[in-house]
Amino acid sequence: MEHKILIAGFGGQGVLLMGQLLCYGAFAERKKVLMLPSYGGQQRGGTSNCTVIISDEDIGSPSVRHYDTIVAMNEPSYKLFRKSLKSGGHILVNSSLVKVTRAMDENAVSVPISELSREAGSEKTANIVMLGALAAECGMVGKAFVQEAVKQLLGRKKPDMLGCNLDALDAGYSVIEKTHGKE
Amino acid sequence: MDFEFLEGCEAIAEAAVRAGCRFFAGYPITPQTEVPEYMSRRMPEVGGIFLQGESEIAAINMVYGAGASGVYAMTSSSSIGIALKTEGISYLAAARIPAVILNFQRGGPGIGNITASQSDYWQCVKGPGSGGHRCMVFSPSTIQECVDIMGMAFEKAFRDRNPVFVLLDGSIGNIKEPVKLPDMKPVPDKDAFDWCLSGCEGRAPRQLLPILPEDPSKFAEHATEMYARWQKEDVLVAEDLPDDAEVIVTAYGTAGRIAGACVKRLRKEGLKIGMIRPLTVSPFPIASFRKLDAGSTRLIIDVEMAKPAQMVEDVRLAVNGRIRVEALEIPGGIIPTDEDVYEGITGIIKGVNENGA
Repeated sequence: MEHKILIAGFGGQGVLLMGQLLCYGAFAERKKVLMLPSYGGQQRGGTSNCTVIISDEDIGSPSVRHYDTIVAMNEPSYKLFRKSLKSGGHILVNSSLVKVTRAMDENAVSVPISELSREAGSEKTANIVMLGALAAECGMVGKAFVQEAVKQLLGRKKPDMLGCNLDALDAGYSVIEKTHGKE
Repeated sequence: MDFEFLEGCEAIAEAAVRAGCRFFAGYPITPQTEVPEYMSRRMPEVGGIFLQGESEIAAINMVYGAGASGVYAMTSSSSIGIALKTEGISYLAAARIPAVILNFQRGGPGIGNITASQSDYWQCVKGPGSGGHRCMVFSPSTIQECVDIMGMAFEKAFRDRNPVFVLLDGSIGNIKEPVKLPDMKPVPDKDAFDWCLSGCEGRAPRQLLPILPEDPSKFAEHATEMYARWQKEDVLVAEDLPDDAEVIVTAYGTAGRIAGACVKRLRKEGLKIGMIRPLTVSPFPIASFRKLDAGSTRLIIDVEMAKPAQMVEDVRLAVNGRIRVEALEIPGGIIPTDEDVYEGITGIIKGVNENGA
């Protein structure tokens, strides 16, 4: 099994952090992992994206023709990368900034990260809501490993935020569970 | 956790430090600026020296000085930056001063582009400077392989008193993978090197000059013997050769990992296919190709991120006409996808099957 993911947004939305956390979870579970961040020529506020490949076997190219799952944190990312989605794959969109519904794009899954992160206690956890949705969607990493990655990487720096972050992660998981439950 | 999740440039720089590297001189160029950036922070922590030269040429000549004094010294650059360094690299070879040089290949010629490429195989393997000298050239495919090779690169450089290349590219420098770093090794004792310039109080002075001795044949004979010894003792290669393989794929570096994944997929699909992945391209793994049975193996496909392909010439020399050799050439500056290489390899096989030998 191999799952190829693109996470895209603008600088400051936690695109690289999401990739990093998912990778930590995956390799703690002894999966093969590769991450290719792309922010080279980009400026603050510009677009930033990263490719994450999680596999049971040795990983080949970091360059990907079609992704199994794409995360679009803003409208330009949705427009730019929609064509790179594998047929049958899902594009998870930040519903606050990407006005695309299931009716308009049957491969799109709206994730209300702003609302859900507020419910979790802080809008700063918006990217962790999306991480939960992404981890659930990709299905390659056990939830306990993703939780552990959040604890290890974020818990140490901001222990007071850990509860919010774990709630945010749960909220993201339930969006995907509900969405796919309906199908 | 025993693994760390590191970017290629960082992991390679840290592996060099752990191998005993205590001098780094560099000059910024994409896609390897993260190496000097890391070294600028790390060297002072381990009592080493980091210097940013005013140019690539200055940096390689600083390495000449550090290496001459018996220190594990390293520099790093990319393609056109290496072109500038070749003057100094040739001096290192002539003066028999060891050093490790990282080449993160980018698209070329000229300024080219900043994306990964394998267009500088010839540069490192065939012409790393004027005067016809050679360097040992390592060609790892994954960050773990890079890290595992760094210690060896310094050891061989000092054993031979000759500069060593690690041939990389913009992809391997910028991806992140879980990696197990080696333990920190002690810095080698300069007194163990009976050639280095360590202060001549109480002993005869030594000289390390980039000029040939009165009898030029001495250097030539020493060098020729050394290169022949490499071929016998220092070849590193990853072979995946089933007995019944009809097709053999060969590639190094980033092309090697992509082609490797493709070979596994094709074998699952029922194709009798094997792989020869050089981890040193100088010395080239000639024996791996010589031992192929021309009765069962009918085709060798060389995959390179270079058009025209470069390593394919060494493959053809090793095969010496016994087996058909074709090249899948991806222009430098493009990182092919798994599908690109799969389609390229199956396309070549189909073409050969239809048109015959």
